[in-house]
Amino acid sequence: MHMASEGDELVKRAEKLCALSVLQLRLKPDWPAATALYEQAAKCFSQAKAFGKARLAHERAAHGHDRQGAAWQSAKELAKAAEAAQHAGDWGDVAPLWRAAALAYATASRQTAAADALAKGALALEQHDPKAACELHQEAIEALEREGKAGASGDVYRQAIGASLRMGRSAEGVCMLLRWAAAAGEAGLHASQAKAYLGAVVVWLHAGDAAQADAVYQDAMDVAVFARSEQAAAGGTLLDAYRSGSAERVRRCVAGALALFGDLDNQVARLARKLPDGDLQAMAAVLAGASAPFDAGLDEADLT
Amino acid sequence: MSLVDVITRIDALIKKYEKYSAEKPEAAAKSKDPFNNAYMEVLERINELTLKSDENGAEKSRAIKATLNAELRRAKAALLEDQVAKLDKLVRKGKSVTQETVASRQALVHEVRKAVEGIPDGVHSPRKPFRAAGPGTSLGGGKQPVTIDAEKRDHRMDKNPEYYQHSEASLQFQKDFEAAKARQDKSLDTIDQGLTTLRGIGEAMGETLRQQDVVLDAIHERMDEVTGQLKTNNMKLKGMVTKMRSTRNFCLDVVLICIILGLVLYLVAMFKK
Repeated sequence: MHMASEGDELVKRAEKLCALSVLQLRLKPDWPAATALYEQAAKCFSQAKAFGKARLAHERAAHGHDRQGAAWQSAKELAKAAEAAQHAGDWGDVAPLWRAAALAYATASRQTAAADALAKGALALEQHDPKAACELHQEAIEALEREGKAGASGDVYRQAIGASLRMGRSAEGVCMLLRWAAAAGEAGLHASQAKAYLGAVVVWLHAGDAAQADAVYQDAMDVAVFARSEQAAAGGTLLDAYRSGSAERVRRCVAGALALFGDLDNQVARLARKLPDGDLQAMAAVLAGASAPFDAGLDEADLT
Repeated sequence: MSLVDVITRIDALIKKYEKYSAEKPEAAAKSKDPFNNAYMEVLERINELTLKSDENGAEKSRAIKATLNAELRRAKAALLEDQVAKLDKLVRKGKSVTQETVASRQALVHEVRKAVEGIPDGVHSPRKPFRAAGPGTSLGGGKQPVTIDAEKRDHRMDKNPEYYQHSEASLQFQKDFEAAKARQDKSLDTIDQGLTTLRGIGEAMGETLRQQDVVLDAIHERMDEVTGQLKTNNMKLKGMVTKMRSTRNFCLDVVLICIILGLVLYLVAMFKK
């Protein structure tokens, strides 16, 4: 309580500094001093666990920094405000605050920090507001791709993929896996790229959509890096196992290449271990019509 | 002083005082029989060479072993050529040599020859020379050509019609072989999995390093910029501080303070009056 009242004092003083007054010859609000006071007040509130007031103080401090032209400081204060809102439990305000922080980071030309802020927000909201969390993940990835340094931030992608898969949104998960594969390819991270493509195939198979899995696999085989990799061979064998319609064969395929399947992203590996899942016969039928088997054996008539 | 120096000096000293050495090589009991003398000498030499070959056997380094064995072989050849040949010539010499003595002496010489040749000198089986692969060399290493003759019968079956049938022992052997092979395959699979995992880890490490490398380069550039800005700021500050503390301003300040003090004193004096 003692800290909270101290915080209230500081806020009052800061507000006075912001107000214009002819008596003290203040024609403009005194932002530097006011901002410092707001920051102090926010610290006091945080220590007193009055997170609602702490959040307001942080927001005012961010506003002050913004008026001073320090976009980066403003962004940091907004991030702290968002964290305070999380502690206070105002889940509706968390997403806008993180977005504002990301915008401020972007204004300070720190796109990676903006993406990180959005990712943090998404992580916080995963339990309480999954839809908002997904949107934040999307925005984070877009921010990274805009800057062009997507290859260096595998963590954001991994988080987004993990979150979508945990929520059971396979389509979004695959979408992000493919985007990560593209980003990794640009950054020259071939192993990650191959793993991402294999992961996409596994996710579709787990979701029971064999046609999509096959389509993704064929698209991925166009990429030279993937076509040469061990992951492509494992993916092909897995699709062949599905084509045969035998659950035992699928299990054997996964167990045989466990080192490869287990090396994928955590959530994807978890799904891989759960294979086969769903209606195998239907999937086998779809696959039989879709494309040729990966390993058709040696064709005796083919003399090449 | 190195070991070589010590050894050289010791040798020099021994040579110098050799005549005082108490260990005079004992003149072998010179019997009247030149054959026996030569025979004794050859036996001694054979003993020496046998000892040497034992030492060679204990040598660990193959290259050194090969060199020592070559020396041993040379010594053996020399022994055979010189001394055993001498022995041969002396078979018929000497006093009172009968046919029996000649026969026994020849037998002794034969034994000696065999003994010399029997000293182990590291030669095992005739090793085939390593031939670089060429058009004339065959992969089988020049083994007997394999022929299949459908008309000529295989005579192994005549004596024992069951020759090519499975027996219990052979069945057991086959089972053992297959079990062992299965175990080996399992182990190889485990090794394979382990290696794949290691490879995955290695690749992941390599990629992380590549990412970090890019980040570090960016940091490096920013640090260079910041250092440059700091240097500029420092120089500006230095200039400003020098200006503030310049001697002219200092003297001016001192003079003005003196004038003010003078004025104050004058006013105080005026009021006192």
